[in-house]
Amino acid sequence: MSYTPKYFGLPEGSVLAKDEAKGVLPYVFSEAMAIAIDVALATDRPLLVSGNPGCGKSRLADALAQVQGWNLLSVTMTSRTRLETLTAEVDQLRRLNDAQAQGTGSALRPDGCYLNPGIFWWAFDPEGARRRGLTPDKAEKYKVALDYPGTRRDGAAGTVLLIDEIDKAEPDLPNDLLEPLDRRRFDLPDGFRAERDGGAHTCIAARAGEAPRLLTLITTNRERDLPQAFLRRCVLLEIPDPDEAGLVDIAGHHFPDGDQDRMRAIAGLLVRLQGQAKALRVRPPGTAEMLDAVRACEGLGIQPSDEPGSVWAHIEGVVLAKDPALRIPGP
Amino acid sequence: MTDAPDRGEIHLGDLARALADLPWRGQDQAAAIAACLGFGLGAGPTLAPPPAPHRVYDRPSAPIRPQPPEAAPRKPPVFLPPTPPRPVPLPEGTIPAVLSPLPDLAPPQQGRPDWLAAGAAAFPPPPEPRLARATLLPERTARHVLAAALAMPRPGGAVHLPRLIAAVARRAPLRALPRRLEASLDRGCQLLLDYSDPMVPFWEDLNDLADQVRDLAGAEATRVYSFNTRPTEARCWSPAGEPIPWAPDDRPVLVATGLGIQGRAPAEPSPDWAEFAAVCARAGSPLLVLVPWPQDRWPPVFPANATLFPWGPRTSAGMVRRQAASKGGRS
Repeated sequence: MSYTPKYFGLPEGSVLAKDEAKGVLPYVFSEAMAIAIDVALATDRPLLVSGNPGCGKSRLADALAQVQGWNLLSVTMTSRTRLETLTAEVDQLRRLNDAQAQGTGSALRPDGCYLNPGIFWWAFDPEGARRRGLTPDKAEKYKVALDYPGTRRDGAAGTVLLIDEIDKAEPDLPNDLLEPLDRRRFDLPDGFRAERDGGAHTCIAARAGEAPRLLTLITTNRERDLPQAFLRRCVLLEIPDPDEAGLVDIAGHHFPDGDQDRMRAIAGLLVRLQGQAKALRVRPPGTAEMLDAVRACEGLGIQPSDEPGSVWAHIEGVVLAKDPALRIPGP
Repeated sequence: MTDAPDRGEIHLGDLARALADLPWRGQDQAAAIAACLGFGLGAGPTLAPPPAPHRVYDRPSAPIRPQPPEAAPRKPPVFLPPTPPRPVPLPEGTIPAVLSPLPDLAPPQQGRPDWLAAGAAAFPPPPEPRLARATLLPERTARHVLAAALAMPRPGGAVHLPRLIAAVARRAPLRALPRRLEASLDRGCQLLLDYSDPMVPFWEDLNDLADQVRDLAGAEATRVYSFNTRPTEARCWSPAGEPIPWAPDDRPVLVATGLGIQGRAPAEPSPDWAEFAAVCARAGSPLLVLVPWPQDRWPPVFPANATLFPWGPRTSAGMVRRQAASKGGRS
């Protein structure tokens, strides 16, 4: 790699080495990744990562946080995810039941006890989110303090925030994210305030220009179009499918003592299946599937073979050629 | 609390900042940085490395004076004629010349070849320019119109206050917060396209519509079928080329069809439509029909569970919502 990143501490040989004791999985960074991450950090913009399923989009956030020594927060989008889920949500049901159960004579708990901080609150103001926006005394008194919902590292100088699979959300949600992504602030639900710096605030905002830094990483499978206004605010990174040599290299880092010939055979088969899937317009198997196949073969001591009905043929069917169209024998 | 600045969309300033800040080397890396930010530098001029910052306003205590470049030792001018090329040494003696007759290169047939009679041109004719074509649902409105048509109600919206107040008034314990219905695209849709002869002028619009629906609802959640006049015989094809007959699930069914309309007379749709609508009704699939012809040519009688929408550039999301509400109160 000829590019030497300025803000991104690229590891030796562009590879995050495997460390089983710490539960660290290897990750091979390409030059395009290093440049895109550096650009996102230099311009303070979110990084939108696209690529085929299983190409390592979500794992990039994990590896990046590991390399930088930063905290990691992640959320996977679903069709039920709303802006409030990601910023601050009120547990109305609990509030109502508490009010009914307490009766008219006793004092109500503070409103903040019913605020559930979302991932943006944790990223912008982790201490406030931990206390649900209450003062330290009140958070202690009412025992409402929360644990950090991600991976926290000692002395972290920043946070990687992963918003995974944004195209699984409703089509309008990316537009709702413009303000938290762009201005790094969001409003609390109506009537709620959060204590910070001795004042009560109706919005939560990241402090401008102060450490810790924040890198938001958003992944998409390109299942649907994202709004242009959203795209124009993101730094773009497309992770291509690695070629055969790249696949063997990745597998070699995951299984340093593995059989290289076997890895080459599986990588060759994967590339062939990817070409077949492209021609048939079905979902192609990715790097993740190949690693599963190598892991299965390493564990079971199996070599790939062309023999129909063999154990390998079954493994190929359930791990690599998951789409039925890929299992149809050719002419 | 200090707010982060509103950075808006990515602009040339971001590119300038990234190029000035990052340690790129060479045209390729500069182009990669620009590509991450959505700019293309591929066809641009060769970029020089970033110049040193302007020092005209810097006033350091010891002024930096530009040093003259180190001069090379001067040499006396030399005026010499160019050296002539060295002559090629000739072999000694006489080299014998061997002449052999050429083979007969005449074509096997003496007549005029067929391809000359075909009137083939020296160059292939230039491709006809592709005329700009306005699609029936313009890009600016397609997303909203289709979202209004395909969004299905599901519980999970705003709190249903009347029910909540009733529960509080009765002091009834609430196990779930009563919520209003909200519109969602999470069910996706089945899209049926009518490729019959009267629809020939709209075949490209049918293809555009398929792309627009996929972009909105997601490729995974959209199933596209085609039919010729009879919607009950709609089919799609598996990757192996086998026809898959249409069968309704509970997803909305969007049909783009001309209902057999030809000329200016009102349509007399095929009796197949009644059966088709009945099948949709039994499966609980809302039936939405897009018709590209003016409303005065629509059939006067059509199955009650079908909602017909005009398919044209004047179709608006509000029009679609009103039409849907008048049919069954989808909201």
